[in-house]
Amino acid sequence: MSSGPVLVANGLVRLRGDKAIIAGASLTLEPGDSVAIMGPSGCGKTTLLHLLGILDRPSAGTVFVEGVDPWSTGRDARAALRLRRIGFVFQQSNLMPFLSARDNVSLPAWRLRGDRREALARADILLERFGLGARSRAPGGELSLGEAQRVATARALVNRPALILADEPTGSLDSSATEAVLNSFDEIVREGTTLVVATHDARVASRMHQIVHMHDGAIGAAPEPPTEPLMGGTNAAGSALVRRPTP
Amino acid sequence: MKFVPNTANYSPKPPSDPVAASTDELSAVSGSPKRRGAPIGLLLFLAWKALGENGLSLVLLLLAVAIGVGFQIPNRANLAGFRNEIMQQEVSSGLGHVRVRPRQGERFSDITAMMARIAKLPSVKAVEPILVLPGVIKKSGHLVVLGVTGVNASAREHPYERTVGADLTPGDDHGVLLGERLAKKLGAQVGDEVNIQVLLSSRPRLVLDDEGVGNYKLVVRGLVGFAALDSVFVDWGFLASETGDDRSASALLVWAKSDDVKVARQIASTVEHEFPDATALSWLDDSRYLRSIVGAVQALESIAGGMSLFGVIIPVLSLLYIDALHRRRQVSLLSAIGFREREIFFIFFVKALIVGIVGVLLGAVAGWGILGYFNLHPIYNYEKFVIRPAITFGNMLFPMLLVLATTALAGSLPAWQAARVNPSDTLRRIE
Repeated sequence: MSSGPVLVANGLVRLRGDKAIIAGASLTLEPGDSVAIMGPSGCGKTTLLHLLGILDRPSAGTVFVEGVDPWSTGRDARAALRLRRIGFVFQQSNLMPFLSARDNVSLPAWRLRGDRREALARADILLERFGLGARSRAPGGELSLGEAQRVATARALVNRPALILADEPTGSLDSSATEAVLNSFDEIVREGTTLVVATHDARVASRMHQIVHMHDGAIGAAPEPPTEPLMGGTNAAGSALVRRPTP
Repeated sequence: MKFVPNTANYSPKPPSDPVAASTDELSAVSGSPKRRGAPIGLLLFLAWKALGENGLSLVLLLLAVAIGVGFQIPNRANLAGFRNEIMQQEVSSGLGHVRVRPRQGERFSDITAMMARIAKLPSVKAVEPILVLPGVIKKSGHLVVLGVTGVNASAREHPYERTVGADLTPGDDHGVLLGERLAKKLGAQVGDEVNIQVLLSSRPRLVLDDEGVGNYKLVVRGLVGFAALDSVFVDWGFLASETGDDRSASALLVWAKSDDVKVARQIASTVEHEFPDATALSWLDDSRYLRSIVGAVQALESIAGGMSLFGVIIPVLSLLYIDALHRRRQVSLLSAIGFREREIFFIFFVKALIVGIVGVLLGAVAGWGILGYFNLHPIYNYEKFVIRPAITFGNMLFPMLLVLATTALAGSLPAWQAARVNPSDTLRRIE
C-alpha cells in the first residue's frame, strides 16, 4: 500500500458548455478513508466521481492517483491505472448480463493477470465472502438488484484497488440489500481500501468516516453542524467535513 | 464553502503495488499482475458470450451473411458457366482463338507456309484452313442459300461440334455435315442425300456447267450443333481441289493453348507482323457479339456481386451498429474496469468475424447445394446450348472471401464506434 495519499484532487472544474458542473473541488484521500458525497440530484456528485476515477477529464484542476497524474499519460496508461488501482460500483446495470456472477467478478483479474483460473479463484473467494457462493454461476442478468450490487462490489475489489468509487450503490435496493452492501463496504474500508460513495441516503452516509456536501458543483458546508469536530488528519482544513466515529 | 485539503505542497510519489503488499486471503491466489495487454482468450470469451446473448440477432446476422454467400456462389458459377459455354460454342468449337484472313481478296491461294509457321508458335495448339464458298442446298423441294464451308476432315479442331452420326473422312468427296437446325428445316437425316450447288470461282477447272457452279449429290454423314446449327461442311481438300487451287483457303483458324484473350492477341500480333498480307484478329476483337457477351457477363457479375455485398453489408452493419448502441453501458463498464479502446474494438470486431466465418460456412453449404441443383437442372437448356454452373474452387472461394471481408468491414464501424464510447457520458445515464 502506498504511504502517501491515495488520491489528491486540486481545484477540479468540469464545464459542460458554459455551465460549471464541478466548480473548483479539492480533495485528498488517505488509505482507509471513507467519504460520502451527498447533495441533491444534478449537483455534480456523479461527475465528481468520474473525475476522481479518471473516466472524465477535468476542464481545469488536477487529479493525482497515488502520485500519478493520469492526464499527463496516454489512454492506455489511464486504463491500466483504472484496472490496477480503482474499482467502480455504479447504481445499476452494473454487470455483464451474459456472464455469470463469478465471470463478472473475475473479469478485471483475468484482464490484469491473464490467468483465468486464478481470476476465478479470486472471484470465488470474494463471492463467498459476500454470501453469494451459491449464486456464483447465475447469469448477471438473473441476479436480484442486491445480489448484483454485491457482485459489482466484489468485482471492484478483485484486483485489490486502492480506491473504490461507488455511485448511488444502494439507490435501487431494499433495506436488507442495502445493509448487505454497506456491510461489504465496511469490510473494504477496514482492510485499508479508500472508499468514496455518492449517495442521497443519510443511512449510507452515516456509515462513512466523512461526509461531503455538494451544491451546484461545489463542495460546500454541511447542512447541520458537525456532530464531532474533525480530528487531525490531512482533511482538517474544511468545515464541510464531518468526521464520524468509525463503525 | 469550499472543501480544501492541505495539498498545496503535494509532491507525487511513484505508486506502490498494494496487490503484492496485501496480506489478505486474495494474496494466496495472486500471481504476477505485470501483463500489459488483455489475453486474447478473454477478448474471444467476451465476444463469444456477447454474441450468444441475443439469439434472434445472432440468427439474423448469420442469415444475412449466409444468404449473401449462398446466392453469390451459384450466381458466380452460373455466369462463369455461361461464359464457358459461349467460349466453347464460339471459340473452341467455333472459329478458334485467332482468325487469319487475307488483307485483300477473298482467299489465300496457298496457305502451306503460313500454316507451318503459325503451327510452330509456342502458344498455338492447332491451325486449320477453312474455305467458304457461296452455295445452295436443296432437298425435297426445300432450298436454302448459304455458305458451304470446307474443313480439314483430319484435323483435331473443327469449327463445329458433331452431335449425331459420323465425322467426315479425309478426301471424302461424297459426304457432308449439316447443322442440326438446317437439317430440320430440310427434313434431312443422317444417311439422306442432299443436292448442293457451289459457286466455285470465275476460273473453274472441274466445272459441271458453264457458269462455274459445282453441282453435287452428297450424303449426310452427321449433324453438327453449337454455333454451326445452320451451316454445311464438306472436306476442305475436296472443295479446294474443285476450285482449282487445292491449297487455297478463305481463312486460317488458330486454336491457342489458353482461352486468355491476351494470348490470342499475342498470336494475332505475331502473325500480322510476319505475314503483312494477312489480317489476324483475336476472338474478342473479331466478334462484336462475343465482345458484347463477355462485357455483359462481366457487368452482370459486378452488379450481382455488388447487390450481394449490399445485401450483406446493410443488415450486418445495421444489426452490429444497433448492438453496439445497445451495449454502450457494457462497453463503458469495460472501460471503467480498465479495458483499452483497442481491446473493446477487438471484442466487437471478433464478434463480426465470428458471424462472418460461421455465416460464410453456412452459406457455402447452401451455395453448394444450390450448385448441385443447377447442375442437374440447368438454368438454360436450348438446342445444345446448356448453361451449367462452373463448379470450381475459385468460384466457391472468391464469394466466401469477399463476403467475409465485407462482414469484417461492416463490423469494423460498429466496433470503432463501441471503442470510442465516452464512459462518463454513458454511465451518467440510468438505464
